[in-house]
Amino acid sequence: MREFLQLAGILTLVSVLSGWALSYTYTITKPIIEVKRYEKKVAAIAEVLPPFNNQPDKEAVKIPGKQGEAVEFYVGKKNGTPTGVAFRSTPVGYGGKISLMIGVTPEGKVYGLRVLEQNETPGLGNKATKDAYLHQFLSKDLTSSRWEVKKRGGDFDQVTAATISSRAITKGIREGLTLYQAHAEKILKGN
Amino acid sequence: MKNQMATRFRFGDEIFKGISRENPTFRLVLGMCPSLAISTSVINALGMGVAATFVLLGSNIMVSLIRNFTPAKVRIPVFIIIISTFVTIADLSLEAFTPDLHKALGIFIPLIVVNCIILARAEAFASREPVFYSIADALGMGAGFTLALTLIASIREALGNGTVLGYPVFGAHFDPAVIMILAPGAFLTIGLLIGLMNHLGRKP
Repeated sequence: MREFLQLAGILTLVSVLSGWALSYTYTITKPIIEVKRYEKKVAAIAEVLPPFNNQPDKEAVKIPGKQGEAVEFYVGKKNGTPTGVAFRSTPVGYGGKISLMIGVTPEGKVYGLRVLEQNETPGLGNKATKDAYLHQFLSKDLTSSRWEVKKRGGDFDQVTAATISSRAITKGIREGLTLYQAHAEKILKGN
Repeated sequence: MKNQMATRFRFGDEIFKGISRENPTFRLVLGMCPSLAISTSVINALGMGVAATFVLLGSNIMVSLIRNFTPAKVRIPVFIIIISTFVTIADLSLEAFTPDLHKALGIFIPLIVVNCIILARAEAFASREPVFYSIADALGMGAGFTLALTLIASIREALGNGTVLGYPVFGAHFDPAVIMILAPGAFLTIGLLIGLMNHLGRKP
């Protein structure tokens, strides 16, 4: 019985100390992590939008997406007139979800693209997430092109030996554009 | 005076041991999972090495400090709690101060918890030796692990991507062998390097 209490006591003591150390680290790092994440989001929005002078991240319009999750649309405005809209799309590639930031003009033409997160194969699939590949989508819209890779009868190049990644990117942009077109009026009007 | 010399000698020896004759990757063949997975680029290897060294140092010091109060029956759970605490601290700090590196290392930071090197050193060394030598052991093992990872990653990044630390090393005409940064390249590189180390370390 004494031994039992001693063992339990020591384990409890170690756990309590560990818990204290963790909560201390967490309180210190949490605000820094949040600021970094926020800065990254704002930078990505600014990169894919035409010049604007409002704060798009503060005026997000939420629209329910295909799977019911809310997609935030960030409208960039210059002196009150919308210049473009940025939003996220997360297609599934070869190595899991790819997080894309898409910027479009109010009419729905692709203006800027930026991959925020991806786990595609280095040297193969991740080529489809680089600017050299993404360049071909710029200033295209839903009616100007067939949104598939050439191998599947579409208008866009695929990266050799990385069809899955290339198709995921193409599909992600297409679905994003479709969602935007369906709600463009509401998004541009704002909340 | 003589005693002091011996102490100093042993401290250095405990460090050196981790780098050479008891190198965790090439000699003890511990921690293979991160060594295979993370060695696709030199920067990842360095980051992983430094993070693992930090955890190793923290856990070795703590385990050694409490070695006389820890009953043998609960020592493994106690070690695991200590190790996972330091891993979480490393994870949070990396995310706060070097978000890009944190993203590149991804799941392998939390997985340091199950890296055999850390638990093996707690069990085989820190729980029996004073703090002073446990620090030396952690530094040596950490350095050995970092050097081994960096060596593997340099070979893989150079052959598989044509760069080292992001800088081109072979010029424009080099056609990288993508297999080297895929999983088979990791097995090939580590296997050949372990073979080479065994050959060099062979006793006549």
